[in-house]
Amino acid sequence: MSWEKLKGVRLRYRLAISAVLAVALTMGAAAAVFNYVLGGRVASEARNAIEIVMGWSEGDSYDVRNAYALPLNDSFEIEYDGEDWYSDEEILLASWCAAHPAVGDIQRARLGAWTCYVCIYDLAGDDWDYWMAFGDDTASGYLAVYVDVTEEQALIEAVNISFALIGVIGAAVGGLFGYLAGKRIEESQEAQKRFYENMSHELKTPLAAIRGYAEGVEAQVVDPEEAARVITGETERMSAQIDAILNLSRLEAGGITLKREPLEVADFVQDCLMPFEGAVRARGLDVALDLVEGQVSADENWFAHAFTNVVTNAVRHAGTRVCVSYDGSELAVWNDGVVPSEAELAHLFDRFYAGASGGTGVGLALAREIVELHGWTMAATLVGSGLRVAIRMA
Amino acid sequence: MAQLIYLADDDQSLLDVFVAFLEGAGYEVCAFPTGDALVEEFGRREPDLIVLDVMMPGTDGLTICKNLRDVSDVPIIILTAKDSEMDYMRGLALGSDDYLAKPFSPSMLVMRIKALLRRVDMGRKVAPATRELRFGDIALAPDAHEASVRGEAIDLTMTEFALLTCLMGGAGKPVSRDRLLSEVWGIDVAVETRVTDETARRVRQKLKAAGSAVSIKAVWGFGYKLDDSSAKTREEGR
Repeated sequence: MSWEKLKGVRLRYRLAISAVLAVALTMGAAAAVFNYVLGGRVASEARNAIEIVMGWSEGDSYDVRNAYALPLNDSFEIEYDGEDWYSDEEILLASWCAAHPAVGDIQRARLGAWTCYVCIYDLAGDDWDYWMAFGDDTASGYLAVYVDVTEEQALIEAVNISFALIGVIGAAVGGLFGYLAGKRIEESQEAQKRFYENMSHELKTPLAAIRGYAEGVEAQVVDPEEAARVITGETERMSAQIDAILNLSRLEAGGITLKREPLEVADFVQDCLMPFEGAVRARGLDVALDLVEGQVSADENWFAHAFTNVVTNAVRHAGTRVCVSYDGSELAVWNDGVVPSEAELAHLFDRFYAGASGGTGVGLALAREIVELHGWTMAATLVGSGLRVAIRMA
Repeated sequence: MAQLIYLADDDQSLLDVFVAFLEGAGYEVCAFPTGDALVEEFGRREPDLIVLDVMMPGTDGLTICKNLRDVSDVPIIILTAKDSEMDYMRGLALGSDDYLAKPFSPSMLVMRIKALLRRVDMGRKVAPATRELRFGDIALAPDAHEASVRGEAIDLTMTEFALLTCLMGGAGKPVSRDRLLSEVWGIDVAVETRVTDETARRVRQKLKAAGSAVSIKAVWGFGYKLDDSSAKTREEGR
C-alpha cells in the first residue's frame, strides 16, 4: 500500500481510522503498563516470600505472603495421598512440576483457574539443613514451595477485560467522532471549492462579455454605442460583486467586530432607500413604507450593507410594487414581479445561486451573514404574488 | 478661457480616460504620472483644480495635498481605494475638498469637478456681508465659508458646505434630491448617482461628531431635511 493510495482515501475515513488506532494503542499501552507494574509487583512479592522461606534472603516470614511447601518424590508425584490431605490445586501443581522440572528457579504456574509462583527444591541438595522438621534423614525427592497469587491474577484479568472493553467502546466512539468531524471538514472544503469555482465563473462571465464587445468594436463589427453600454453595465455588475465578495470574505475571516449603536429603524430604512430614488422612478415602481417607531442595537455601516442588498434585490426584480414594513420586531421587504419558485426559495441565500429568475450573486448571502452576526435571522417566503424577505430582530 | 486642471495618477490608462473626458467637457488638462511631477509644474503654473491619486510612487497623494494646501487654496479632489475611510478622513484633515473612491465613473469625476469649480466661482461673486444662516445650534457664514456648532467651528468641504446651505434654505422642510443635485452639483439631468446621499451622510456624521442637536434626516419620496431634536424635546416638555 503506497502513500499515494493512502492520501486518496477520504478524509472522514482517515480520521475515523486514526481515532480508532489512537484509542486502541493508548488502551493497549495502558494495559501493558498496568500488567507490567502490577504483575511485576505480585511476582516480586511472591519471589520474596519464597526466598525468605527458603532461607535465601533475610526477612521475617510473617511480613510476607504465605508460602506453602508441597513434598514430591523423585518422579514429581505426591507421596502421601491421604484423603483430602492435599488440595486439588496441589495435585495439579504436582503434575505441572513434573512437566516443568526447573529446579531452583522461581517459576509461575497457571493451573486452570489457579495461579501460583513455585520453586522446586531438590531435597537431595546441600542446603537442606533447615528442613529437619520433616524428620526424614533420607532426604530425597523434591519440595515445591509455592505462593498462591490467584486473587491477584483474577484482579489483573478483570482489569484487562475492563481495559479491553473501554478500548473497544472508546475506539468505536472515537471512530464515530473522527468520521463525523471528517465529514464536516470535507463538506466545508467542498463548499469552499464550490464558492471559488462560482466566484471565478461570476467574475469571468462579465469579463468575457466586456472582452467580446471591446474586440467587436476594434474589429468594427459591433456598434460602439451599444458596446459601451454593455461594457459599462458589466463593469458595474462586476464591481458590485467584488465588493460583496470582499465583504463576505472579511466577515468570514472573523476579524469583524460589530460596533453597535442605537439605531432608529424608520430613519435607517429611509436613509438606505434614498439612493434608490432614481432607479425606482426610472422603472415606475411604487414604494410603500409601513414603519413604526423603534430602536435596535446595530452596526449601522454593516447593517446598511445588508439592508441595501435586500432592497437592491427587491428593486431589481420588482414588477410594480415594493413594500417595506417594520412592526417593532420584524423588518421586511416585499416585491412583486419576478419571483423565485418554491424550489428556488430554499437556495435564495446560497452564494451565486443561479436560479432561473436570475442569480443573486453573493448579495443576499452576505446580507444574511451580516444579519446573523447581529444575532438576528433572515428568511424568505412567498407571500401573495411576491417575495418577502424578512429580518427578525426580536 | 478654459479652466486648467492638473491630474496625477500612476495608472496610465486611467489617466488617458480622464484626460479624454475632461477635455471633452471643455477643460484644459495636464496629466502627470507622479505627484512630484505635478508639484514641479505647479510651481511654474497654478491650475484651477487638482485631482490627486492617493497611492503613487514617490511622495503619496495625501502628503502632496498637505504641501499644496500650505501654499495655495486651489480646490483638490483626492482619489482613494474603495472603503478607505482613513484616507478620506486624513485627506480632509490635510485640506482636500472632496474625494472619489475607485472604481468610479469618469463622468462622476467631471460632475464633482464642475461642482467644485462652481463653488469657487460663486465664492468669488458673493458680496462680503452676506447674512449668516442659522438653524438650531448650527450657524453658517457663507462669505467666509465657515460653519460652526454652538460657536465652535467645524470643518466642511466646499461641497458639504453647499449642501448644508441648501438644506438650511428648506428651514426644516425636505429638499428634494433633484434640487440638491442641481443647486450643489449643477446637474440638471436625472443622473443615477449617490453623490447626494454620500455627502448628506458625511455631513450628518460631522454634525454628530460636533455634538449638534441638529441632524439630517432622509424622508423617502421627498428628500433630505434638517431636523432639530432639541426643538422636539422642548415641545414635548410643554
